Amino acid sequence: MMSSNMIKYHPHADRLTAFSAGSLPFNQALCISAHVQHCAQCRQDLKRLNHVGSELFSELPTSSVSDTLKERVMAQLDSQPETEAPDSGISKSGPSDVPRCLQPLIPNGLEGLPWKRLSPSIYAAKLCNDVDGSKVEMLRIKPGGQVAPHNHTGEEVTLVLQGSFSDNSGVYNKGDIIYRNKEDKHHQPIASQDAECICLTSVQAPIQFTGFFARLFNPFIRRSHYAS
Amino acid sequence: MVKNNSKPIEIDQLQNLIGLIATERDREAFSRLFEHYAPLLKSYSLAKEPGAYLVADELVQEVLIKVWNKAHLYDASKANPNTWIFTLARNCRIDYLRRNGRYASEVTSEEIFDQIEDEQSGPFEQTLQKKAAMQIHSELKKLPETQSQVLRKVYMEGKTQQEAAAELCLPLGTVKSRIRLALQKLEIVIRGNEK
Repeated sequence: MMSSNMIKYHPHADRLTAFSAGSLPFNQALCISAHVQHCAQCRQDLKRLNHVGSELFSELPTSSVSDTLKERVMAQLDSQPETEAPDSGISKSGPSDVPRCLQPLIPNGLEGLPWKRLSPSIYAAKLCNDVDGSKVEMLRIKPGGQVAPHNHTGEEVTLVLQGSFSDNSGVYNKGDIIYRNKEDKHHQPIASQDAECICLTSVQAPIQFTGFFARLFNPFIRRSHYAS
Repeated sequence: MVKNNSKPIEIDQLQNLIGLIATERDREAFSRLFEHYAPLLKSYSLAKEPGAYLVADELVQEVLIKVWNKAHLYDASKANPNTWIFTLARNCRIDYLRRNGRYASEVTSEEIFDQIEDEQSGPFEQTLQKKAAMQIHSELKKLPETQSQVLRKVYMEGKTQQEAAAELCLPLGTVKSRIRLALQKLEIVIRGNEK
């Protein structure tokens, strides 16, 4: 886990709140969970946000619960398995270069993903689709590689897992989480020259490529949101 | 009827009950914990889902069985009993919605949240967290209704910000700013440097 003081881009407070409440769309929750694994500051904030949930929960008006429900639950206690040892509760194994929340989707590590070549410098591997149509992908950009300029029709979340990239608004390093939407015109990310950049991205709706040639190719790149 | 109208149970009593379940498998302690939490869990609403009242019992059952099975994992230095139960209930609700097709993924709520909540904090951080919890406890009641209403929709009813905005007939930006204002008053998150 890298020190968090190098992380500059965090999710906004209202998104962290929705994450803590469990009301964030799944694809976004995945990105925040992976960010938080690298970010001690957001982990502290989340513990506080859980207190908010806990306070609201304990202030709820109570609902009546039937005696039969209680009997049913009490009757089930006998058939519960012996308790697990505290240290075996959670499996911490898995590929070390993959955040824990992504391990079920990347069981064989980053190298084991079915990477597809989108351009000489960009590879993508789809992880999952959410029910709202958003798509979660891994992107791998060679040193100095460029993603074609594009606009966003829906919101895009990007989390840097390895290396770094930059665009016209900043430089993003490991652990940084970046949100883009339709107000952000002609977004053109470039990986840094010294290392490959690996990112987790979630895109709400397909992005539009804005360059002339890219526009020409748009019909052929539906299999991914990214290509040049 | 299970009643929750007896004397309010203090936090340290709740902690003791969880401890008795962990070490003694004490059914009497579990029964008392059930009576305290089941009526709250039932209210912890699935309001947005049609037929919510049908699944409310199912959720109460699932969370309380988890309490029985995970009591030995409960660590009072990390979370007070209400926070622990709230996170269990939240996770059960997410997994319930996942099983029922609202989320399409293999990833469980435990995999999303555990790495955060399992973390051991040092004594300094624990002191800060305790202070923050007291601040939240006293300030939450003083929030203007417009702000606490939005927090309840998001936390208790599980509404997305868009859904909360639509229900309250407010622009999304207003919902977001009410949440941020509330968090500033609770002294939770002051920064906001998202790009």
